[in-house]
Amino acid sequence: MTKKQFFLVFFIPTFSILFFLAFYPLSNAIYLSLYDWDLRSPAPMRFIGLQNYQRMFADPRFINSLKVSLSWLGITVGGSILLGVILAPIIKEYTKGKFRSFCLFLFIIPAVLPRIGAAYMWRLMYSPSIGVINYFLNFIGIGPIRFLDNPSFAIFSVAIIDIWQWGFLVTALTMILLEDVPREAIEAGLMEGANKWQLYRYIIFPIIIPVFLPILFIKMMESLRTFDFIFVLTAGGPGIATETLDMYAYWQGIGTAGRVSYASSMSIFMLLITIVIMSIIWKTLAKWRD
Amino acid sequence: MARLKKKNIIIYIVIGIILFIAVAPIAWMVISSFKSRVDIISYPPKFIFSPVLENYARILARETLLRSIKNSLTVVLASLSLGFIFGVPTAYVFARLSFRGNADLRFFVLTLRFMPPVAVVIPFFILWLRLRLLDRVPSLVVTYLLITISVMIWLTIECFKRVPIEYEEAALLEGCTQFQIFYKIALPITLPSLLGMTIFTFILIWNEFFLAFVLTSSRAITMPVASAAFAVVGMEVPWGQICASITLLSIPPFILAYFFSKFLPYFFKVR
Repeated sequence: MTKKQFFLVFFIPTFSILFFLAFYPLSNAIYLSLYDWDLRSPAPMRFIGLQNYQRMFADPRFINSLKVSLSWLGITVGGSILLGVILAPIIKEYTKGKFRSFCLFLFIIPAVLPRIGAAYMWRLMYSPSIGVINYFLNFIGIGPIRFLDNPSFAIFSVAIIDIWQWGFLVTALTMILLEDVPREAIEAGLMEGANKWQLYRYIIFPIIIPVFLPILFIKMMESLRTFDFIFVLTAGGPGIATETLDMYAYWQGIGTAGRVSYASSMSIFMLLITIVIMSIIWKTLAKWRD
Repeated sequence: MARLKKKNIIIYIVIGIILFIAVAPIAWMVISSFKSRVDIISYPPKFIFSPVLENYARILARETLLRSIKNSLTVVLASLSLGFIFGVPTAYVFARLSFRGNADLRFFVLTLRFMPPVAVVIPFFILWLRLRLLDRVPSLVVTYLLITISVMIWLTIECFKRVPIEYEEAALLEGCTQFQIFYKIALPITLPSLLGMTIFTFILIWNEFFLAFVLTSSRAITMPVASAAFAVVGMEVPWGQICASITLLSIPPFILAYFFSKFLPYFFKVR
């Protein structure tokens, strides 16, 4: 079997499947978004051009969901990365050998927990009446706090769970990266009289950043699409205080309203944002590699 | 010296608290799954109680949950094996063969993983509905191929690139065909990374909620969806049963997490 045959036998079938799986939903979503169609109504599909998109930007609930999605992105990405960058050096400096691998294992545990499971677990712990968190807060004279019912911080309550899952994973990954920093670089820094802070700031982090950036970007992409937590913990509430783009599109398209064409225009919009952000990331990474 | 010790003790307490925060919520879920209905809704929360198995007995008596376990296993195994068959050789093509559009197609594969699920799910929902395949295992598996194939390709390209090219060139001189080089040399060398990659994909699909939630409801219901369904059954949230089903759901990822932590360093290399 020559290279060319290998290519034909393995590559072509895979890409036929992938192109179908990618472009079938894509072209259909674009098609649907140009029509007015309601799953619940007997009225036939009606071509309305770009009206769904115009309607979207005039829809205050859509604008709200855009804002919620952006703050969700900011809080969860910032929180997870910060937690990882702060924790990893601490654990690295003060643990070693078996205990360190044990820490690494424990940090991975929250991330592999099904998100739906994490969501219910935290909902139980957050409960103002039977929740264990409010029980402990009671000791220091706080509470009970209605974590999920307060429009001003419900999103933070949900984001904490995401940071709990992702922040510890980022910690674990950063620990692995720190292990891999060449000894010579650290020793050279120590010879020059660098203290711990300077060592990390000027020597270690610049070395790991080309591998660390992809982690940051993956987390960003994951944060753009978040349904499970919001769905279980607040369902977008109270009111629409935690209603993200996917949550709103879900309600419109599948949840209760059945307006699949309007929801499709929103999902196409989301896809466009995703592709733009990904292209920027892709270019940035390519630059970093050079 | 004494001051140094004191500082260390504080650091160890901090590390202890951090580890506690990482694990305590999960421990609380497992503990709660062994509480009786009365114990779980009592306040203050009970830390000492007599454990019961009634939650597990209740959920395992439900036909839906048993079906969901079977479905989840079928869906994961089917989409993993298909993903492997289609993804791994393709990753090898990306890593070893140069052709026009290699980089662009790689970027295309990466974008698939990050397509907004809402954009994917509505057209597929309508497609499977029209084909009368909604709420069927095969249609869910096909939908998941979008994730498994793309993730597997993406994670495997780098692994194949790390195989020393000299081995493959030597094999070529010996008269091996391209398929033999792939099958007898590249595949065995990358096996540990491939296992790590498969574990990662397993967890990804096993935990997947949104697509399954929209595309299945009873016949093809998967475990995450079935676990979530307990919450809407009655008026009162059956916390004990939810905790029990989530604990069951979490067992495979937890076991795999151990192996996953061993394989992780293969994927992240600074040098």
